Amino acid sequence: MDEMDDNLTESAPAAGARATVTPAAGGAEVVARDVDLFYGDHQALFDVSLDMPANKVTALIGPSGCGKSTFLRCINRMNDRIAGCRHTGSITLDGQDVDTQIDEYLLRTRVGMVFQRPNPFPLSIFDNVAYGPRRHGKPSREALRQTVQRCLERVGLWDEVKDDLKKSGLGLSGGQQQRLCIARTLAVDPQVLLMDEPTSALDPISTSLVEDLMSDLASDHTVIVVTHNMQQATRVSDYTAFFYMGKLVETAPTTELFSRPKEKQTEDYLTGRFS
Amino acid sequence: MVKNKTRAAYIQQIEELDGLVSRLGEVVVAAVRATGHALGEADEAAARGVVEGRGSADRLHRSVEDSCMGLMLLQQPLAGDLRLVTASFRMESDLARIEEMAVDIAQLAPDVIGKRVPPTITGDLAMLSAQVATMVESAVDAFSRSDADAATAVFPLDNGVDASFGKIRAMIVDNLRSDDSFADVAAELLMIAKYYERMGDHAQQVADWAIFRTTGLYRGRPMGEDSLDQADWSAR
Repeated sequence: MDEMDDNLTESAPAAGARATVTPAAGGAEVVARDVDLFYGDHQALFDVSLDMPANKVTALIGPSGCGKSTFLRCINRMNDRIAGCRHTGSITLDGQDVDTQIDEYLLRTRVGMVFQRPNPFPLSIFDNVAYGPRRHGKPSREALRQTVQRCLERVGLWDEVKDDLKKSGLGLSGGQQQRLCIARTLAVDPQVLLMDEPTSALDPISTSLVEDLMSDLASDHTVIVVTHNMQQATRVSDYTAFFYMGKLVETAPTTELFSRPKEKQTEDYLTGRFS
Repeated sequence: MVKNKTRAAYIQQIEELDGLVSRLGEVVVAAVRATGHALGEADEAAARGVVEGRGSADRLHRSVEDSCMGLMLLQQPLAGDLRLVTASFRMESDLARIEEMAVDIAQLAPDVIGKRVPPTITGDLAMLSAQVATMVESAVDAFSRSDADAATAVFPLDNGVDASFGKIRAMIVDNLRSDDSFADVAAELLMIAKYYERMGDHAQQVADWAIFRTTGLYRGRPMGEDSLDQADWSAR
């Protein structure tokens, strides 16, 4: 599988899949209950239960290897593609179990994902954004044009690229590429946006634009972001969950968790006292 | 034990800040006690010592400020460390005000010592200084030990300070009524008493910061909570 195919399978349904896209009426509440996850014999998540409220930003923090990205990938079933990976417990989207009650391809329209490194397709800027709607249906040219403009406007990219829509998305700067990827994700009207360290490869100005976007998108999406940047978590999130060694140690409103954590492990992590 | 050198250096800075705040508290308490000794024992040398010691106290104040600002700028502390740094930064201001007032009292002391002041008044001023010094000492100690209960116990002590101030004020007024020449020192004595009374208020603030450092609550409000709601703003 080459790189583009990999990106396609991560962010869009497989070729041939067709699902009816229902525009999001707002974010969906995501609820995880008693999630254990295994890679073969190795257990990576232990009894994780976490509520991620609709139309809020929830940040997942913790040291590398703590399971936060693994947990994130359970929400849109990306772990299904990893041989030997299985989990127990449940994850629901507005009460519907993502594993048993929502078609995988429909799930990918309801739950979008933005990755650490911008991964625009080797297509034009227009086609990058139009990619999802085209695969999910047969929108008219005008509807497609409107969708592309709406999504590029939403991520603050329209004025920068409106005269270059036929140019390759790969020609944009890193920050613009990441916003293009977010616009591509928005084009199928997801209810939930998963972001896995979305600014770790960006400069401070681009980071600031993407952070603004996260807060803005939370008005009508549920945003769940994995970040190693604790200042970013404090800037953008409403709730924060701290993971350590596959366990959810503590979750609280962000101001509370960062100012007066209840658990010693959280305090030690936030203050750099981990040995 | 933290093995990472950068984090170890950070933690050392945090511990040094904690130590600096305690040291500053000791210096301020000593200055307050010295003013009481100067007034009670008519010891001008003790008063001069407070004024001359101002330089080293200023250096300590600046060290605390620099340490707090450096940590905030370069380390962006969180959780308990953030509470320590923000509380230290604010508490330093209160200790600075107490220390400034102690210096003001020390500068007024020569105008009082040697004058015809009833020993009951100077004795009560010395006692008032001891009450205030105990308040400051207890609040700083509660801060250093992160002991919210000990900090809470500081607040009722201010009632004693207020009562002593009221008693001294009444004695000054009585003396003014009975002795016209007393007017020469009455203003200075009243100012001194008032300084001590205000020190008690600042000591309560220090206790507030001790509670904040320990619990993350400042006068019952959590850190980061909006202090003004929309109604407050629209009312402006």
